[in-house]
Order: sequence, then C-alpha cells, then structure tokens
Amino acid sequence: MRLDNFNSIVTQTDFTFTATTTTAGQLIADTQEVEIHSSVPPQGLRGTINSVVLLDKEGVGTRVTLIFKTTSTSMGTEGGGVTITDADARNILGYATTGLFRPMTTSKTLEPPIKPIPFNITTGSIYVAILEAEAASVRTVNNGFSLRLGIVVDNVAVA
Amino acid sequence: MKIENFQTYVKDFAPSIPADTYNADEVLAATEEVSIVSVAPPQGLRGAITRVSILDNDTTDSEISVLFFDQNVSIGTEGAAVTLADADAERCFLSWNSADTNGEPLGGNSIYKTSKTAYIHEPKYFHSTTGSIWVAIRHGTAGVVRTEDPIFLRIGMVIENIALA
Repeated sequence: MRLDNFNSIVTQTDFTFTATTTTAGQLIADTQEVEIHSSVPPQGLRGTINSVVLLDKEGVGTRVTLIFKTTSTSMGTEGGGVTITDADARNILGYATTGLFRPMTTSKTLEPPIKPIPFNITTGSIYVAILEAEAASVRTVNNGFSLRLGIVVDNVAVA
Repeated sequence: MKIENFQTYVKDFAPSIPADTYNADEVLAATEEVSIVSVAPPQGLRGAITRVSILDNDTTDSEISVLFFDQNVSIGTEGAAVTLADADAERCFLSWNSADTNGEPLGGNSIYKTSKTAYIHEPKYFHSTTGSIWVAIRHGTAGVVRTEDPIFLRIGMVIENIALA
C-alpha cells in the first residue's frame, strides 16, 4: 500500500524588490506569491512549511525575517517601515528569522531554524515578505533573494 | 498493512579529500554524488534529510561548510578557490557551517578524544530528478594541514515516493 497524501513539495521562488538601504525592521521585499500546488481541492489546501533556505545572491548576509501570509496584501513600501492593518495581521501564518549566514563564495545562504508552520488555504499559494532584521544594509541587486521552501501537503496527491 | 513509501534510509558517506594544506574559501571536497536509489521514479525522488552526523577526524578545529545539492553542480577542485555560480547556488538545499549557531558547532558533542562531531537536526526537503543528491565541502580557515579523507558523514533521510527493499 502506498500513502498518497502527506507528500512533500519543494518550491523555489526568486524575489524581486527595489534596491535600497534598509535598517532593522524595514521592508526589503514586499509580499510575493509562492505557488505550492496548481490545483486545489474543494476544501482547500492544507499542510505545513517545514524547512526554509534563503539564498542571498548578493552576499550581503545580514539576518532577515520572513513573514508568511495567506493573502497578497502589501506590507508597505520597500525600504520603509512595515505598515499592516489589524485585519491583515490575522492573515499572517508565521515568522522565521534567519541566523548567521553560511558562506558560499559570493552567495550566502540563510537558513532560519523553523518549527512547522501549518496552513489551510483556499488557493494553491501562500505569500511571503522579507524584512531586515539586523543593522543597516545596502542592497543593489533587485532580484537578490531566492527562497526555497520544504512543504508537506496533506490532502493532495503529488506525482 | 504496510506503507511502502515514506521509508527511512541511512547513507554513510566519506568524501574524497586529498591530504594537503588548505586555505580559507578553498574546496576541501569537490562535489560528489551520493546515490540513494539506483532507479528514480519518472517524477524524480522526493524526501527530506532529517539528520546528519558529521565526524572530523582531524584535530585542527578549522572551519568547514558542508553543502548539499539536488543537482550535480561544481564548486571547483580540491585545493583551489571555491567557485559557485548563483544559478548553481540555488540548487543547494542544505548548508551547514562548523561554527553554526543554528546547528551544533563541530566538537560540541565530541565522543572521542581526537575527533570532532556535530549534528544537523532540522529536516531539509529535496526533490532530485535522479536518484541522487550531491555533497561538497568548503574549507574556511587559512593554512591548515589536512590528512587524507578525514571527514565522515552519516546522512539520515525519509524517502517518500519509492519503496525501498
């Protein structure tokens, strides 16, 4: 017997954002879509985000905070402070702040320790924003992050 | 009832490392294939590394980074500077540094007098289009004499979509 649910999906998403200087708590990259599955069952897509690898291709290497949401609502202006309504704050699934970077030549990987983040969504996507979590950093490349998520989905079969 | 997928697999792997003096940001072990299954299903092999034991038999306390990839990408040759294109770096699904604050520092749980051990605990998911993953090691400390093949990895994983024997 084969178990057809509780399969993992690995997503890889390149982030685009406005090249700018940010300080702790400011928005580096506004909310962007991460598609998990193209077809969603009628009752919605359920699962957990279990692992995160963020590749900093510019190699800045400062710690960042990832915010996982169920909606695409903007979290403010890139390079500025976070603005979010109380209603939209209810759409936050969870946070993950990276530790120190791991060097790879010009690139650096940032791998936040993460407890599983459960979700139950009506579409096949979640949304992610990136905040600066450290001192001032200058980012000159507008597509400098690549985000890899390891996700277990409960109720859809993965080929 | 027997579930034929979602099975545990443990792979012992000793990367080929020439005895030499290594400097910072040089390749300690070039990318090597770690075969998990000889024939992958058509849709590729999915799973998660759940734990890695890292044993360093040298007593140098030098910094290393162990990199896991889902494709065969080069980081250079042993003893030469690490070179890794951004597109290739995106294939890395797990990296660990010996001074890492997220994992355990090398030597933190030493059970031998001379060797150093460390562990990676966090599950990291991969989707390989073949039946293999790839491992490479970067050296991070200047002017360190290394013996031949001093590092041993025990990689524990769960394989999802294939029945193991």
